[in-house]
Amino acid sequence: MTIRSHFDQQLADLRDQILLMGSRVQAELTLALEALAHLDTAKAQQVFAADQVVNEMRFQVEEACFTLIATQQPAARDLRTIIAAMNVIVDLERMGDQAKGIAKVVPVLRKNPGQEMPGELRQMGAMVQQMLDDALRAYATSDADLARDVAGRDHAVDALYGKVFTKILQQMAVAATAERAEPIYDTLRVARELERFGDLATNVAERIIYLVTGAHVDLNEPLTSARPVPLAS
Amino acid sequence: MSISVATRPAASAVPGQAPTNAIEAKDLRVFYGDFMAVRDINLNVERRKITALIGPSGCGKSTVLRAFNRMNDLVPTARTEGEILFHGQNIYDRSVDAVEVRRRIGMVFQKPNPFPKSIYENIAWGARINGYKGNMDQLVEESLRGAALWDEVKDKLKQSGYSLSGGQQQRLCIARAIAVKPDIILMDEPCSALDPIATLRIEDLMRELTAQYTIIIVTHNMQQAARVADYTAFFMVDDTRTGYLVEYGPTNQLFTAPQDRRTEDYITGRFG
Repeated sequence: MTIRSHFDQQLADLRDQILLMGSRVQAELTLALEALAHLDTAKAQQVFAADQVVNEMRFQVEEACFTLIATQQPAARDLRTIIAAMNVIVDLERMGDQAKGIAKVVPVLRKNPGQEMPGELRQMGAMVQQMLDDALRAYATSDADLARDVAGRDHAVDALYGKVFTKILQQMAVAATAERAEPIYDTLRVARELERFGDLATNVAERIIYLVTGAHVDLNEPLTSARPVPLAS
Repeated sequence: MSISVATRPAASAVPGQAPTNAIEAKDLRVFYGDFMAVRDINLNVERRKITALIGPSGCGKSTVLRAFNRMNDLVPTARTEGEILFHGQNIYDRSVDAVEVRRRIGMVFQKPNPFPKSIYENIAWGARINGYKGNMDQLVEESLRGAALWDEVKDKLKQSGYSLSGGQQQRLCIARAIAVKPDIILMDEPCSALDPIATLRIEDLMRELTAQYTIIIVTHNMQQAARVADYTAFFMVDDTRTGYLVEYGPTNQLFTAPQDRRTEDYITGRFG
């Protein structure tokens, strides 16, 4: 038995719990995107249930982190591992909220089947899914380079959001009634949830870099940089 | 020759400001007979800060601490190479009086060691020996207040120092150290014989003392170093049992993101 093998096992368990929580968020997002693609309200309901599980996991992991800090006096990489975990679970939990936000608009859009869905939404969904997959892989393998790569992709997600934003504003400009505007607005909301999802994946990537290198980095570009140019009047 | 504050060269890079270094080890080596206990220590100790020396047993941290006020001179076989610069002067120069060095750089030991005298005399005796001619009652009160002990002993100053608890005795020793107005206080595991509450009280006191004094502390308790020290120096021992400095920097950096793998292994308990 090596020195602190019990503590090492506790840290390994913590990592496994986070990866498990991450996989639940992956599943939740997949479910939300499927519900959106097929306007499937039953699947949207499943997202709500899945999100509840993710929320509970966040508090379980947080409790485990408190216990490790209180009982093991962690320092250096051990401390960074626990602090990073406490931040990553908050980001994962919020990603779950974004997925839930997508599920929430499914019933509205279902009532308005003619509402056009910008093709960029599917692209954004696929991109943020891959960002989360890779962020979790970077976390599992302490791969700071992969984490940087994940964060680098957020610009592309933001750019797509900018395109959707422009399209939606154009649609809103010609919407004659409030009833007609609501589904258009909800489409924008989906784009916004996906854009935020990408930001949160970037946050996770930052935490991985901190965990591995001990250096804080801010890889999130301000949202304004992704905003589209104003519409021509 | 005594060490004069007035004639020292300013160590500060900023003209008109007090020097930021209290004491500096340059290429310090300490030998016990043929055995080299520590090698090539270069350490700048910042003024009015707490600097902790940590490392495994036998790494030479106590030897380095004792080198800062020539306590190693009391070991017949001890020999020192390199320099310890205090106010710009090497305290190992032939012209420097070791007793004067120890007055200016006081020491508190692992086990509280009050004199077998009254609480009052524990303070007054050293001051008297050092030629203090002022108001002794005032000095005793000031020193005991400075060591956060006055309120607990003001009504029993004639009682033996031994009548106090371990934590109180250690604060009495700190009061005794500050009574002679040193610049620096060296502490060699000052809390290792104390219970956790007395330990925290000493740690609070250390923080208060930095208003006037520079403190260098050797501790085996890494959490103590993390709690009290502004800077931490980590020492290791090589295959020939000679100690050396591995890493020295701000405590928050050393305990959250150490630069050296050996430091990381030690402070996370993976090396013992």
